[in-house]
Amino acid sequence: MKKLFSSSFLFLGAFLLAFGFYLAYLRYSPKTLAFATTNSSKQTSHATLPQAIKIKSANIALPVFPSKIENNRWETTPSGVSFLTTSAKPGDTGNSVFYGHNWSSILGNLDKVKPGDIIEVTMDTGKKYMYEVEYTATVDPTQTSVIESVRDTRLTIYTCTGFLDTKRFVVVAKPQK
Amino acid sequence: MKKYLAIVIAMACLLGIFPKSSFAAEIPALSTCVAPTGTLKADHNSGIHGVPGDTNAYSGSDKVYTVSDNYAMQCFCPDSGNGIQTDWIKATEFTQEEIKVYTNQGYIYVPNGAAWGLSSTPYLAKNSSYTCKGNGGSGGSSSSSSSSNVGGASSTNNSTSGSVLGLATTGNSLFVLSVFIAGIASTLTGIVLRKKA
Repeated sequence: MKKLFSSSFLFLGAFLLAFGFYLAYLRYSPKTLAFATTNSSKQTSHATLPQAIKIKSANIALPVFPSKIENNRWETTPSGVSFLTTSAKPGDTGNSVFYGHNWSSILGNLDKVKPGDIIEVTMDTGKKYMYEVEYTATVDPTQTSVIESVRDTRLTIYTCTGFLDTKRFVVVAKPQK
Repeated sequence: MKKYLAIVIAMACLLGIFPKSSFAAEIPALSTCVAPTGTLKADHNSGIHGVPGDTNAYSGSDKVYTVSDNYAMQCFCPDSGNGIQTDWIKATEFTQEEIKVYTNQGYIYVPNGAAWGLSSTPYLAKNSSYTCKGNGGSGGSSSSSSSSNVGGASSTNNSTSGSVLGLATTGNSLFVLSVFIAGIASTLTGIVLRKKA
């Protein structure tokens, strides 16, 4: 009987340790925040870059770091939000794409954002752009249209969500009128 | 001990394989109402709309996009802002087995799309939620122009604002740490019990 208990505990221990390693891998894997490869990966260089992003309604105020996709690997940062430099510069026509981990210190509160909330982006020049949230949704990483270039001016910010980070929680905002 | 480590590694590898499992009939990459693609086929700023898989009628704005020959996407935004996206996939050439794969994934089989303003062919429809600016005009659309009478979409179980999946547990370092501690505790208990046996 004791042997059976012992084997059960060992099996459970092995499972939990394996699960722990897998969760840790997911948490720190650069793949976690990626979308499927898109065609819009043309590298661009912006004269000015966003420096900070603030969403008061979700208690988010974070520095922004430029990022790019290299060999299908999305650069991520543990210190703030990433701005995809291949996307449009905030304020310009097109889709300005921001993303970050769903850690409580970063975008863990993003799912609290609702249509009508305001997103403030501060550029390194000090100029501020205000956006109003239009939509939020949970999508699959294959739904790359959310990060594609668009004809209007918009800001897209997303993080991971769902079982084992297999989904993306997306917020789309348009310039405040 | 080596055997135990091998089991841990094998389990971790197996866990890594699970999310990548695929289905016999691949469901195509779908568009999304937050960034629609395709051609706008219908645009109603307001009106009463029906829902596949739901007998209720809903009031709000409704847009339909033709994404490809076999796929249309409908974005319904009620005044409450609890938007519903319906993906319509033409099932004309689908076998019963393929239809079953879709229905197992939450799709509803619609024998004739004509009732929904679509072609007179079978469709598979699936509802999902998103949030929108619920004032009768999702996405700041311009004046209404309609070429179709496609009904609205809704979901039977996603009715609260911002009703989305909770953020993944992998984002919570405390949870990851707890799993490790529980694993170590369980392993040590197992070792102690084995020694006593």
